[in-house]
Amino acid sequence: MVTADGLQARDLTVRFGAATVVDDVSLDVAPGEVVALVGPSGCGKSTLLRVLAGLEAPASGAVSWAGDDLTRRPPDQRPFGLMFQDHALFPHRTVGENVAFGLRMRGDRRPARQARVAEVLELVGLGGFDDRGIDTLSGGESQRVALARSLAPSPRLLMLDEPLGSLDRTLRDRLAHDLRAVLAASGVAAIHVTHDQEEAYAVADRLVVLRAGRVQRDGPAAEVWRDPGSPFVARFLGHANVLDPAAAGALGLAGGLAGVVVREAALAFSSPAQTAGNGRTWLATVVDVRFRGATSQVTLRVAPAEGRPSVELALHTAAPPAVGATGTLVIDPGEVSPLA
Amino acid sequence: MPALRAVDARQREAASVLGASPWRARREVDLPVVLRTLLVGAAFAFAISLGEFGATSFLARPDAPTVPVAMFRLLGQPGAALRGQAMALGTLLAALTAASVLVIERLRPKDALGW
Repeated sequence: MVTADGLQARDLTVRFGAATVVDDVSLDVAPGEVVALVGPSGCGKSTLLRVLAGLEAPASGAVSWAGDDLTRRPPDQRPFGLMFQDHALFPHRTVGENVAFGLRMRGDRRPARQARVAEVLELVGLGGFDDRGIDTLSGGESQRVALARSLAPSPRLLMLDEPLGSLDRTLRDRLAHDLRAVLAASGVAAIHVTHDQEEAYAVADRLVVLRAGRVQRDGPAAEVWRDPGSPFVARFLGHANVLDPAAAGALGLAGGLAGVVVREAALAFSSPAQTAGNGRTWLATVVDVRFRGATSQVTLRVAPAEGRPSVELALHTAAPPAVGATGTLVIDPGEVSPLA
Repeated sequence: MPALRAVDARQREAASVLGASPWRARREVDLPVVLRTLLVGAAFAFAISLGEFGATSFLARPDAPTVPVAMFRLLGQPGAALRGQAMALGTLLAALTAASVLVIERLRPKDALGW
């Protein structure tokens, strides 16, 4: 018998025809916890949200909140909110009417509705927008209205399906930061779906990485980043140096079945060469330099001991050496994690 | 009905997640759009019927003429005063038609394309 508080999704599987879109996924979210559900496009994250919201029926598995089984409950009878990627605001209603919609559905009277609408609009930084038309809003404003609308009926769990997906980079960074503050202020549990790891770090403390409908990794963001566990998660989270077992062996790094991830903090390159060749210090040649703004990405080719393959490693530096330059590369094994 | 199909299924889903039963979601999301389209249709019909002359001239009873029919009758008789009345009616007709077109413009859904 389930007695835990918060969301419990157990062994959820969703099939569209022959394709299994969500494959035996279990996910717990504690009250007030903010979880980022990340993965590449088409990995099943949106479908998983739709199942939790009740818009899609799972082939098997169960969804419950605080021990209350919701699996067969229609969406309007679940204590959850869902914010769509395209916001899905009602175009023929004002901002205020959009935000008041959920309150009206549960039968709140007008004064209570108006007070709550003013409160949530204030919370998302759109105080006084009540009478504005939906077609007068900018992309960022419409995102905030959608957020206010899903927060207004005080759901226990708010699900956000790539809410910042359609916005440009600068606005995204700012809104992700604001979103975190709003979620913290309202104390609601949230599942934030995104394919962008930066956005995930900005909004949530816990990461759940999904691939092809399966959970690959679930844990605190910093821990998942440090120790991604598999080459897929390591690459997805932006690690440039994911080495297969042969390459790891060539550098004398003890790894797992799928090699190692070398975090950038492990690498120190100095050119011209200082003492070379012994232990964790390697002779390396710069093979590529790419300008990336504040820093440049430098690709180094390390020539290990005879008979071993050469290995390429990337690092970022504000003062890049010239292509063709040689130097010494020191690798700190404390910043290397095995992958399986 | 194209107006009904234009209503995004996602909006109905949004309504249901916000606590609307399936029936309520349809009413809240589809009805405003349908109503608006019906009103625009009615206003169009009104504007067109205002100026209709051919069929009306056969159907209108002599004691209840429409504006265009009345104008035709007035112009068909000699006399400057009657012509003046016909001009006045013409102005009235133009004003009414302009007003109904304005109503259509106000009601027309901004996002609806294809007309």
